[in-house]
Amino acid sequence: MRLEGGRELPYDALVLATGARPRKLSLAGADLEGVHLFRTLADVDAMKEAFVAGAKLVVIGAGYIGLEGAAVARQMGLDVTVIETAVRPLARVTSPEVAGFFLDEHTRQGVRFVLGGQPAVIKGQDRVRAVGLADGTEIPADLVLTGIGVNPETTLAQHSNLAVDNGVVTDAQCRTDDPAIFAIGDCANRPISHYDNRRCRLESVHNAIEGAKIVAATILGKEATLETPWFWSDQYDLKLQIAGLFQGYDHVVFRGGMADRAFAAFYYKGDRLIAVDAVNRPAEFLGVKALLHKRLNVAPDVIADESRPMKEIVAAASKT
Amino acid sequence: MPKITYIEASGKEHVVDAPEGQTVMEAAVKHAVPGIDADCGGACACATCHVYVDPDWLGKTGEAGSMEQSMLDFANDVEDNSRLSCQIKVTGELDGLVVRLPKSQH
Repeated sequence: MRLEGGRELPYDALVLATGARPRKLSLAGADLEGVHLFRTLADVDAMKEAFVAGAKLVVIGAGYIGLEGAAVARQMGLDVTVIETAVRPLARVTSPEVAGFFLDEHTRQGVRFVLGGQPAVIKGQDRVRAVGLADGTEIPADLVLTGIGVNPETTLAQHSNLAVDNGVVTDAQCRTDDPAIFAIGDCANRPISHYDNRRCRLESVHNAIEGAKIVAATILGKEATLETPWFWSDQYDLKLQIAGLFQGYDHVVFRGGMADRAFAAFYYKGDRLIAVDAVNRPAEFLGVKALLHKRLNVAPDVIADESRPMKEIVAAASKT
Repeated sequence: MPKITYIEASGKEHVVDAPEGQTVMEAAVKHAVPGIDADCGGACACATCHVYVDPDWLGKTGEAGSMEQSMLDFANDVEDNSRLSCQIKVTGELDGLVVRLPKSQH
């Protein structure tokens, strides 16, 4: 590998862990003072001074990043409006039911939502003053936080003529089409063994750690244990823990009630349990994570039966 | 600075200087103590920083909260003195704390 300046580093194995870059708004005014991305500690430090009680914050994007930002801002007393182009929050990452719960929670906490809203311009002289929508509405803003997704950082891979398709394309062992080069984390696109080798570019802590473990094992000539993906998101006093990939589900069953702010949504594809969203329900999260990891299944009527503790359900499934 | 002793399942000891305010998990990870995975980085989301608190210290570390207790229910080889080390904050009072590590976090 040749570095800028010409120095060359020989390698037996090369790992690309280049991550992703947050997408920037491609709007007039997006470079104004007070418009922030959220990726690094430096990003947080940059917005800290203006992030104070009473300040008007507009969050663009109602994914996890946007909603976590909105939650922190409300807890610190900022006035918060979330603009989302889709008709519901978390559209990419969860079901309408669970998204509806989070929408209600944030609304109850005082967050205003503009769903189906199309940001058109960021207004202001030197500093942001408002966000203008395509329909002409103007939302006053002292501060804008954008959480509109990331693009995988694949420049080096492309210069090296590696296959790139929504991330650096790898096999299940994180190997690119050059057998000595691996790619892991947000920049990589690999088949997920627990999901029929569906190709995914996962953006999560667990995916980064698992990729590192797989590559370390592969380089050492050992076999890595492949795991099922999992995620979490903390908003207010709600801990959302997710095991598995819900995409492709055809029905959902619940344990617990949303009114209690502690429930789990279990996603099924046909008879097969494929994922869980657990809100303040760690047992349901860890139980399903264990089931999925061992490729075990539990019928919907069994899992929805609250009279049976989750641990017992998992133990029974493990014996069959 | 408080000292914490981590004892691996094999019996190997690691004595670490742990700044007050850090968690028992963070102090271990920062000093590369093997056997504490802490996959979620301290969010009480993964149950991979399981430790056994030396019985003499249980009074000072306090008890697991309800979220932590539910997570521990699914960890391996859980005992009465099991805790998630990301939920124990280092204080001056914990100078000399001894925790033992399980055989595996997964």
